[in-house]
Amino acid sequence: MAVPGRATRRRIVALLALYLAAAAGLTGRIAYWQLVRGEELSRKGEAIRRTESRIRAHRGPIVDRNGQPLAVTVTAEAIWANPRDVEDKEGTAAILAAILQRDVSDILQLLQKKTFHVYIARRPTEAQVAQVRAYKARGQLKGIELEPGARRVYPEGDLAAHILGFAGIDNQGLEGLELRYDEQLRGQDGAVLYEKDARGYQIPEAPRTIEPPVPGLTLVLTIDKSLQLVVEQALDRTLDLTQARRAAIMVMETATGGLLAVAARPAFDPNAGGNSDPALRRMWLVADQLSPGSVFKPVTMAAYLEEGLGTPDTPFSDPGCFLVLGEQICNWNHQGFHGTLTDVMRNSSNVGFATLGIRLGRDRFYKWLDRFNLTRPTGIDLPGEARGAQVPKERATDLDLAVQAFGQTLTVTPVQMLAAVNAIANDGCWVQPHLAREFRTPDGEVAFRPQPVRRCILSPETARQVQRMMTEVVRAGTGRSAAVPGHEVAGKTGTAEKFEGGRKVEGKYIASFLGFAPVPNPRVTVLIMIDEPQGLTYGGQVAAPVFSQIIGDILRYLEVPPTAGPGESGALSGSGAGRAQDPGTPAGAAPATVGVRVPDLRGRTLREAADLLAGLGLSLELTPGGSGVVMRQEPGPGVTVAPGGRVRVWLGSSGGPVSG
Amino acid sequence: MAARPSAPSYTTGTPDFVLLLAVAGLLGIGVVMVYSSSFYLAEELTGDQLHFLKRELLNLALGLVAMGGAYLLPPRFWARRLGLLFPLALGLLVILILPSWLVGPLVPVWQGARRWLNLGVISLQPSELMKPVLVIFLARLMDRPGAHRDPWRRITLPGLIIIGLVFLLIFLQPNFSTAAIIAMTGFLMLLVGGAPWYHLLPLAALALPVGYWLLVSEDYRARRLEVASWLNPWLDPTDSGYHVIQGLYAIGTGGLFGVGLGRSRQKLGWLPEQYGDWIFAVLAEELGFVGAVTVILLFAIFVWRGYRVALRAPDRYSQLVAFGLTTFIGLQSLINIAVVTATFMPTGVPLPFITYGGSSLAITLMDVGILLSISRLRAQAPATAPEPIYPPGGYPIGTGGFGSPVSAGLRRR
Repeated sequence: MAVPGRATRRRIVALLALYLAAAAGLTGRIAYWQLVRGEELSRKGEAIRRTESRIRAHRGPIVDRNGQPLAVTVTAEAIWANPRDVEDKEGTAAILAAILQRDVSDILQLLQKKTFHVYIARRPTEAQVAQVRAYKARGQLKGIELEPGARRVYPEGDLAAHILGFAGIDNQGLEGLELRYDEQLRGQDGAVLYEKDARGYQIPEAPRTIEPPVPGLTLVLTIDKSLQLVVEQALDRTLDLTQARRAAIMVMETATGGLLAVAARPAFDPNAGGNSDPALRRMWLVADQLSPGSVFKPVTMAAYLEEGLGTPDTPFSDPGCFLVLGEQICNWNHQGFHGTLTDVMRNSSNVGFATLGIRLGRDRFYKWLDRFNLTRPTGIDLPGEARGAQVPKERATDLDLAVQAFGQTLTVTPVQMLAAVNAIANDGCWVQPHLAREFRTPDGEVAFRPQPVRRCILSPETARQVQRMMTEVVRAGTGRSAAVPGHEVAGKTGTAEKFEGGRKVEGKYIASFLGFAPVPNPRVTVLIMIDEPQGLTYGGQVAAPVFSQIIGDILRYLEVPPTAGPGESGALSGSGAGRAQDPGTPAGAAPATVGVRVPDLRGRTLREAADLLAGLGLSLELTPGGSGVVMRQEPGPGVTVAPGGRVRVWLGSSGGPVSG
Repeated sequence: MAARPSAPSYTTGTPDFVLLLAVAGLLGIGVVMVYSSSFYLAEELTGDQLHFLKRELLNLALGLVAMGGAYLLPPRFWARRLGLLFPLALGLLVILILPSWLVGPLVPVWQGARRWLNLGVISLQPSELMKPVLVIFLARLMDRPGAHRDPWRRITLPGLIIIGLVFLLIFLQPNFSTAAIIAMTGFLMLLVGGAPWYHLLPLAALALPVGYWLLVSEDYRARRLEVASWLNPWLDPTDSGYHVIQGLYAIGTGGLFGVGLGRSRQKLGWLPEQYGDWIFAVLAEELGFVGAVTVILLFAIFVWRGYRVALRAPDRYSQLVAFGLTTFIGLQSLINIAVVTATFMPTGVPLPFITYGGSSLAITLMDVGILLSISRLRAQAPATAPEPIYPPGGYPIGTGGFGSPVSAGLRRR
């Protein structure tokens, strides 16, 4: 046994050594954490403390082809609260509830959350913000804050709403062009990266980095706001007159495929965003498969001529009805005629086109469906595009060919149909319908220009032959009420039967008109569709007059000079419509007699206007379509005309903008 | 049996200034770190950034007074008052475990444990008081003349009974870590003070499973042990692992030179107990590896000098007191740093001198005062030393004095 004293010494020294060894070990451990894994731990710790405060990128505006804004982002303030700073929760909730017209208990619930940030109202009105600011200026509403934010505004309301779509509260495109070009419009959010303490406040000593946001691009549309306005007003009048379920007009620039105006009814206000009725928002011009009816017929004719099977002057004898595979196919009026293929077009002869379809045969007919891009989507820059459906080629009988050749049983989307006939108007070249003309940076530089597809599918000769045939439709066929003074226009009427669940619905039609002007060298192609018009239902009765109403404005706006003087203009005949005259234009020798000043008829009812004019010895000429009060008159108020002259008036619903 | 030895008379020399300097260094770092790590929370809790610093300075002043007093009193003073001190310390521990209806607000419950006595103005942690008292008690026990003739009955058995009693009282608070530190220190004192190894080795072997059983008797401790989450806290990042991870983020961020005094980010609410048991992590973040090693070095110097005081003490009692007090402080520093560096299971042991804390700091400084008073003891001439009592052959070391041939060779080692 060791001497106790020595043992004590030894043991103390041993324990000292042990302590030092342990201390050295801990030093090593600290070195491991700080020097070996220091960087990693530092990064992980930072990751926990780091927080990112996003800087929203400015969403690019959508403008029309002339730079007129259709969708813009404005700064708007959101109201939020830091519940921990709100001292008098009940009182604050009561004040806010009064300002925002919301339930006190709802707001109180928000204020009782254990958090640092809660939105009270993301999109308050200016007035509500002003009220909150006033309270805060008086030192009230502690803990309630205003946060600058962005808000998408559609300054024209429901104008072009269907194509614009709308963007959500977080700058995300949800429908229409806003959705389709969200990536380009959205820009890139920036961020402030900083470190926060456990309560969420920024640590001032910690490094802070700012990544600036990249603003979104400006989307320049092919749409022309002025034409869009014209079209939308015409559409409103049409809807008013026909009491149709829905209606639409598309105006396409013939050479490029760019859409100048796209309007659909019923419409919605994109400012309401997702609160509007989704059914109203449906972009059925690209999403719905509809039976085109007779507006399809030019496609069959073009195919037939291009295949060299005939010319516009090839004789054709139409018995009015004929049998195909045991089924009777008849013209709408069961009337036959002896004439040429031009007459087939002019009369919209079902028998004629059925015969052409059968003669084309299955392979050629389907080939031409394909060439006219009716078998696949057009690729228009709108979300949700569908494509038409045909009887499967393998199963197609002569009867199927015959019926499809005049536009029944197959379906197309309206935009497919428009693009197909536009190929004829465009001297044989199919161009992709599109809405985006170009994208610009915020500085106004062109960032890029989408390149629409262009395919020439017909010889220019064939295309012009069909164009000519289609002018005959307006001149002397089913589309006479589409005529417009001073311009040669072409078109085709359509009255498609409606099918629901595979069964034809009696009395329900889609009346349509698909035309272009002027001929030759068309500038615009226009599709008018009126779904389930009440009363008059034929395309020639309800859709063609709309064409007549708008095409004059459109061509004038596009500065297309009239090709024909008023005296030799296309026949303006038709029910209720007198012969067109343009008393404002001095045609021929001006009378030497003293003229009469035309009164201001705008805002008056038809009867008032007629009485007024009769008192002055003038006669009234009513433009077909429209109802209500006088919207427009030619010549305008104050113009002097010869005694006995005519004043043409356009009717429209009151309350709309009055144009001279 | 043998008469109580008359108190040996000594001359007093100069105290151990190196030890004093190490303590001063640790205290300085402590005050600065308490302020740095607490101002954020102080601001949040009280609105006064200096809230904790002010209290810490008050504690420090109190502790320095206690230290001065203890330094001026002869070390034997405490042994003579043991008849009063030990029952007092034991009684306070007993109060803590009395049923709460009896003691009422005197013993507040904090996180399920009752560790403090609420004395109105100040709160006292009786287990802190017990530490020096137990050291003095054990030193006195082993200092009894003739104790070594029957070490089992005179040293080991009574020592173990006392240690076991204190351990049990503290364990019942519950405060396992303090109980364990007290038991370990007591055990080491027995080991150093004369209990033969063949007594202690089997006991140590027995203590391990018992200790383990006691350890896992409480769910939260068992859980900490179970997943060894203190070695790799990411295995259990929710519970105690969260605490350790946040501490490691702080330590790791410090790197070699630290992020700079006052610039810790982890202390801003991320790291709990940032001015308490985890203050070392904040220190490592702000002052880096250099700062952390400085602290470890200062503790090493403290322990070295403390044990040196023990080795040079003029008598057995002083020697064991110096050893025991140094061991207490050294052990706590090791365990605290081991916990914070994820080397040992998470447990609440303060870092002596540095952690913010009232009674703990004052009593620790009183311990230092006792240590310093021992350090200046010099034995008088060998002739007056009560040598005859001790067996020949060099025991006790210190009493050999300057003239002793035995100690002469060892002294300057």
